[in-house]
Amino acid sequence: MQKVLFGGLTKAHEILFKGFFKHLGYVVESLPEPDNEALKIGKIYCNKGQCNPVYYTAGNIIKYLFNLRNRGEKDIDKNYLFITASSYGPCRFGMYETEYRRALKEAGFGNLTIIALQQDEALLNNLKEKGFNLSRNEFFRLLKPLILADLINNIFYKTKPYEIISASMDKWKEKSLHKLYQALKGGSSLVKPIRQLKKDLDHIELDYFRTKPKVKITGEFFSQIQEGEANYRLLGWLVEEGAEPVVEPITTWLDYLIRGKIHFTRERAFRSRANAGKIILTISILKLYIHTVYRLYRFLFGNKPDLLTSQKKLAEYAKNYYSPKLMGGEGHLEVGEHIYNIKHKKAHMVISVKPFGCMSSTQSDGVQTKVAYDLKESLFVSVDTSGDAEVNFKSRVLMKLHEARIKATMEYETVKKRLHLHIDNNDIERLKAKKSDIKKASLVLPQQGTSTAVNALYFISS
Amino acid sequence: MVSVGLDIGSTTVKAVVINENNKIQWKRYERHKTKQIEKVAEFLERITSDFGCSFRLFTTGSGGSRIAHDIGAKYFQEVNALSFAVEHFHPDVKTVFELGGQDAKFISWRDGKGKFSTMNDRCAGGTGATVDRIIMKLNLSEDRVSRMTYSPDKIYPVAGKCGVFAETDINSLQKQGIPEEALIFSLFHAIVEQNLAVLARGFTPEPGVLLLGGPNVFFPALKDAWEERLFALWRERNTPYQDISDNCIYIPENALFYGAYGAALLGCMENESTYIVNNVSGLLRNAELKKKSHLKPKKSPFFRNKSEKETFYKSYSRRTTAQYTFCGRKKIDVFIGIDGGSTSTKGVLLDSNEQVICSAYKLSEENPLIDARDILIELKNKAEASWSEVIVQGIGFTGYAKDLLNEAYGGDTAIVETVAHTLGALKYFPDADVICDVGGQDIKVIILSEGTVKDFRLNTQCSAGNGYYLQSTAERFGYSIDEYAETAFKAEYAPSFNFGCAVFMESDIVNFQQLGWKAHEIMAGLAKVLPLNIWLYVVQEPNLSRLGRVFILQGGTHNNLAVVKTQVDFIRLRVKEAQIYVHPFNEVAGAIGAALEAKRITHTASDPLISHEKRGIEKTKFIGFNSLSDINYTAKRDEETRCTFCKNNCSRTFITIHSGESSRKYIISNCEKGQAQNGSELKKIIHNIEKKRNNAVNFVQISNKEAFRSYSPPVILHKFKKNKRASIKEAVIGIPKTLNIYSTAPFFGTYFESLGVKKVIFSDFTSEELYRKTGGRGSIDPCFPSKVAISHIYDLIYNKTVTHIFFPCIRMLRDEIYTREFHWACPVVAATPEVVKAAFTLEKNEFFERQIMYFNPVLDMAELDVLERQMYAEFKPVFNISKKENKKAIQYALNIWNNYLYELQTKAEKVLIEIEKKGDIGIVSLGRPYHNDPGINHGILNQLNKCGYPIFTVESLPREGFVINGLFSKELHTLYIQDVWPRSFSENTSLKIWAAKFTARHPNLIAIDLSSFRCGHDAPLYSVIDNIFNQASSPYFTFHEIDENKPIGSIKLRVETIDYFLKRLKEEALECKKSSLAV
Repeated sequence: MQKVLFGGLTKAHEILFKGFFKHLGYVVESLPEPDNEALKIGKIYCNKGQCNPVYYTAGNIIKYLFNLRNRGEKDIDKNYLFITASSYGPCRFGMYETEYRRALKEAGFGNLTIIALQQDEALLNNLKEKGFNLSRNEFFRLLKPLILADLINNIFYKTKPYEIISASMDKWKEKSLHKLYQALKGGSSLVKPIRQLKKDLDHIELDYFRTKPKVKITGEFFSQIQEGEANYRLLGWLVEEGAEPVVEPITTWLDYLIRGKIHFTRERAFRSRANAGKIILTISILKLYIHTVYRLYRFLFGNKPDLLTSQKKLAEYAKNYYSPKLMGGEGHLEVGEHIYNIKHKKAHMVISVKPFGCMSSTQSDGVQTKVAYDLKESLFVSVDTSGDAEVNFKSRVLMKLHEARIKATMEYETVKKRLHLHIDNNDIERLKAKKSDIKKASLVLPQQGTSTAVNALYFISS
Repeated sequence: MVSVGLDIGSTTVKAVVINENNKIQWKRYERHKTKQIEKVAEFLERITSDFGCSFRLFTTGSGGSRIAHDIGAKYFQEVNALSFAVEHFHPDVKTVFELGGQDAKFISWRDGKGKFSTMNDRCAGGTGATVDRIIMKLNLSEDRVSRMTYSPDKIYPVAGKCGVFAETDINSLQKQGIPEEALIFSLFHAIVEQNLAVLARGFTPEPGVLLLGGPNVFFPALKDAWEERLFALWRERNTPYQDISDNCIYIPENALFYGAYGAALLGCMENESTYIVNNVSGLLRNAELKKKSHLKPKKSPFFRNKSEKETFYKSYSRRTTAQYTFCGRKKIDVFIGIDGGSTSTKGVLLDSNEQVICSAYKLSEENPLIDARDILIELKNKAEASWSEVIVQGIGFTGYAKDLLNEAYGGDTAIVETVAHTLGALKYFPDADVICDVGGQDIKVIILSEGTVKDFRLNTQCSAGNGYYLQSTAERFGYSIDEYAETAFKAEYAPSFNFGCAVFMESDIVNFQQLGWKAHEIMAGLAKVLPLNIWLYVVQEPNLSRLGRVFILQGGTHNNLAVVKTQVDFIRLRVKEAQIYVHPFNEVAGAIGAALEAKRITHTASDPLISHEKRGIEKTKFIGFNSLSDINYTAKRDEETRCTFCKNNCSRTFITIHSGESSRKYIISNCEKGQAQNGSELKKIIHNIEKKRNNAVNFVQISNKEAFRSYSPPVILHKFKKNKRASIKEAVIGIPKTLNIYSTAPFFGTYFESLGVKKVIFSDFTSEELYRKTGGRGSIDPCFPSKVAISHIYDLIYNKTVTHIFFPCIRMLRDEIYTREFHWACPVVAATPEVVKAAFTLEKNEFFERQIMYFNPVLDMAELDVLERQMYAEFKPVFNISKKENKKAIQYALNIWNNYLYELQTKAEKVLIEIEKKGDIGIVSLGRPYHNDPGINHGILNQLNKCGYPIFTVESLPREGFVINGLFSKELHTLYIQDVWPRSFSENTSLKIWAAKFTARHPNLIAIDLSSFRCGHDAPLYSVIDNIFNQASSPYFTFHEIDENKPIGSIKLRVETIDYFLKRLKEEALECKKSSLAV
């Protein structure tokens, strides 16, 4: 049986997918996190002028295959199969497949099978054609590890900045992934391990009163979810810089595509209402399934992770600036998230990350200046990743992060005054003592302000 | 205790020491010349000696973070430090522009809207680094530039967005004889424009402007450029401002120290007992050592051992074997070749047996005329040391300045560089497979097969500057170019650069310096990245063995043995049996080619009545060595020299070449017509152009005329009630002549006309003037075709009288190419109308102010039923039209559109049949619809048309009929491309590929592949198109990365090369195996 190679997502997603596929009997290898060496190899074998995700992902698979070849493996072309995401939309993301093929050919792996998963209903047939026979049920189940990984990431980044014992959340994350991997691999129920993980969270102590600005990460999807060199380890670095990163679940991307598909079908429904209805119903069932699984697992985690943002709301917010009908890339999603996060006090600052020369993301940036101007409260910065120029990238983030810190501090001080709390007379400590849960990592702080520290203040004084 | 603020930039270190009262006690500004840590240590030692060894330390600047981390200081991001200092000193200031070495910053305090700040993106175009490089390139001193007085009348087009683009433009202008002062002013103007365009993100910088940073402080002319542009901007946008004398734009005292001062001030807000440092210089040294220990993962020396080095030197060090053997004759017949290159001028004398007698080389110092004159005199003096008389039989010129030199010195031929270098190499290596010529600015790679040229690759402006780049970097580090190799060879470790862009490499250098890499290691790294730039970026061929076995390295850059070594290593790794030679006269290979061509020109038409000796003398047009000293020139470019032969009224430069009492005029103009001095000369020029154009149809011009005219469709009258009619009758619909409107204009124009609008008006074609008017309105930097859309809307709002502007977001295009997927338009193009809307409604709604309604509906042209509903939904509320009326208007529009295409394609079919009959060559422009815009295609297609080639567009190629059936008889579908491009969802991309297939199969067509800079959809196509033409062994030429700046020199070089090879192809009656000449 061919070994299946895949990559390009977060570490959590890759581990859990691996477990899922192992259960189905496939031999799966997740590619290592793309690094700058992968970028360099990608630049050698791809056409010039590509956006970074192509260079990183193509370079990453070639680098991996080179290592196999150097280790003396034979018939690599025959023994391995590469699965990657693709698209039929107008963004050049849809052209990646051709670019991968070219690059692999140039690097001497011209016969390697590539499955480019298009985001449409042909997906299952596409897999089947390549001998990767997933039943509809299995396909639906595939969404579980995706959602679980999203939830783990979400919990990790909203707690990590507040951990009292260094690396306690890292250990929790590692343990969680291991447990869930075992459960997925063995095909056993996920409920029990999740409950256990939630309990583990109860035993981790956090200090929620650290005043940290919340920084929403949006932008081009590949660049924003990376945890390695492809975005200069942005998420980890933000934590080090004293911020709380607000990360986007990959499930949002599915939700976004589903909304687009429904809208597109609805526009053409006049041709055949029955057909359109069928398509919309199918997609809506998928959507319902995704949201149900998300909410269920979220519930099992004690409602600690954030809810998925309503795509309808995001489109509504964005439409005056960037039409949600414009397809390709992240388009209106970035604009909608910017407005949503500022309006609903979900973040002090919004970073839009994109690869250098990204098509759709650059255009949505074209309206973000106006969005920021109209919102008044917004601290928005758009940064591009090119694999190098890390100093330049981080400097631009720091430029706004400084203002976000001031904003977070001011918010904290204002709320403290409003609640008549004074650190000097140990008011906070006294109230903290009353609330035994206040140090638990599993604690869900009801949102009343933007920063976690402010929400903690409201919580103890409630 | 005092507080120290340190601003550690990419080129300088600034420091201030402030006391408890925030008063500056001490300050310094010095260039660190890449020794950032050493300079910081030096400053801190001085501070320690003056203020004691204990102080609080705060840093800022691009190098500040790392150093602060190493020594326990506190780092503040530079914009925050800067704005804090400005708020402290100048609470009334509204705007700050600060230019640093690599960074540019814009801070705006907007009443009630808080602070808005931006920095440049990765491209460090409009910054101090660009100024430094250009000043160095022009051999000017900073002092001289600082004494220049700005004059807005002396502005030439220079690209400010990218340092390399700017350098290319300056280089080209310099070679045209433009005075240095005007070049500097043009650069300053470009820098201001760039910063306004990129940093201000569409906002109007409010009066009360503070200019900070080195370039603003040191060059008063730059401040003048800011003033000129900002006042113009405020007038244009009706922003109230005080008189110039009221200092609404000014440079404050200590303008160099605001970052450092701000850091120190911010530091004072930190707890008093924090960030106190002792014995800092020791800490720095320790940090340096610590860094070194983990910096270098593995050794990468140039040579493994001494003997390898010796063998290399034996094979590749400069040889003396190619020296001329003196025969002791008294007279000698010679052929001169002069190569007026980008950074140097080279010359060579050949004897009648084509042996090199002597050569001369000179780095460009003054005007190319003077440089060439010096070279000619040097050649003469060298030759006359051995012979009593040197008789010039012929003289040829090549290089950037070839036409000017040819005119000035009476040249027999002015030959394009690519050809000259090929001839110069083949003379010594007739079995060469690959000639790799790396000069100061250009990289030319010529691929041959059995002695004939098979393929060409020239760098675009984007990766230009490689040879010169090495030189200038070495000089910045304090080494001459001759010392480069020995210095680099000392490096045992080298940092790994990213290849592809000189500006990005520049930021790599800054990064590496901060990481502690030394100059010689950085130089080694740069030499190592050059082969990657050549073979992977320019040639785009990772598998070199496909190119051949015998590689010839030539051009001045190959004098640098570090480059030769990395080239040899790179090629050997990929081609095991490679034979790699450095041309024995590598610097003057082009000049040798020019001299050989001069010999061929002057000696081909033999006249038996004239003796061999006399023949050359009488045939050559050379003015003679004796006249050289008399040669002088004056340049004039003002209102008097402006061309008046068409409405464009372009500026021209008149160079008058004086030789004794006689003088000749050489005119630098944008087109042939501009070469005329009076009406009769103009008539002659037009007559010549027309003669060439006979039978050379230009479908770009035809489309541009037909697509935007009125087709006067029947107006749907009877359905309207009177009150409904009123709003439509008065409506003047403005449509921007941009993007996909180029392929859809007949449809939309007719739709509105048939609804009975008063008029449909299109904006003008893109021009420099049109684009310049909207500088600073956009908030992003996408491809030029998208960016210039703002200018077209501006044209409609302010120059035309319109009531409505229609600029649709075309999501899907007309379905032509067979596909199982959709027919999407490019997402950048589709979303442009939204970006444009944001630009004109940012601070105020300019549409509203001018009482114009703006419509940008999302439309799907591929699905007529959907389109009908989309148009109805958009215009029903505006014009109160009925569904029926809308449907009818759509039908009329569609009929007209179909007819337009039918006429175009039928005409093209006829021309195709005709050129096939005659054995002529036609050129197909492989571009996107908007490449028909003369302001976007830079007139390249027009220039080729003037050379006598019919020009076809993708749109004009017949979709059915005799011709296409002949070409695609074996296909499933005549518009099928899935065999070469399986993901055919982007319609314009698919059409481009289909047109490539069409062209490759047609025996009389060759293709010009046009692609705009940053085109995301074109990038994946490069290799696909290359494969199509390679498989068909059909020629094609590329103009990739065309942008807003018009690199006249580079375009001319390519057009001339294309013309040369097409003529050769035609001479060979297309019988030879068609070759692929991608330039």
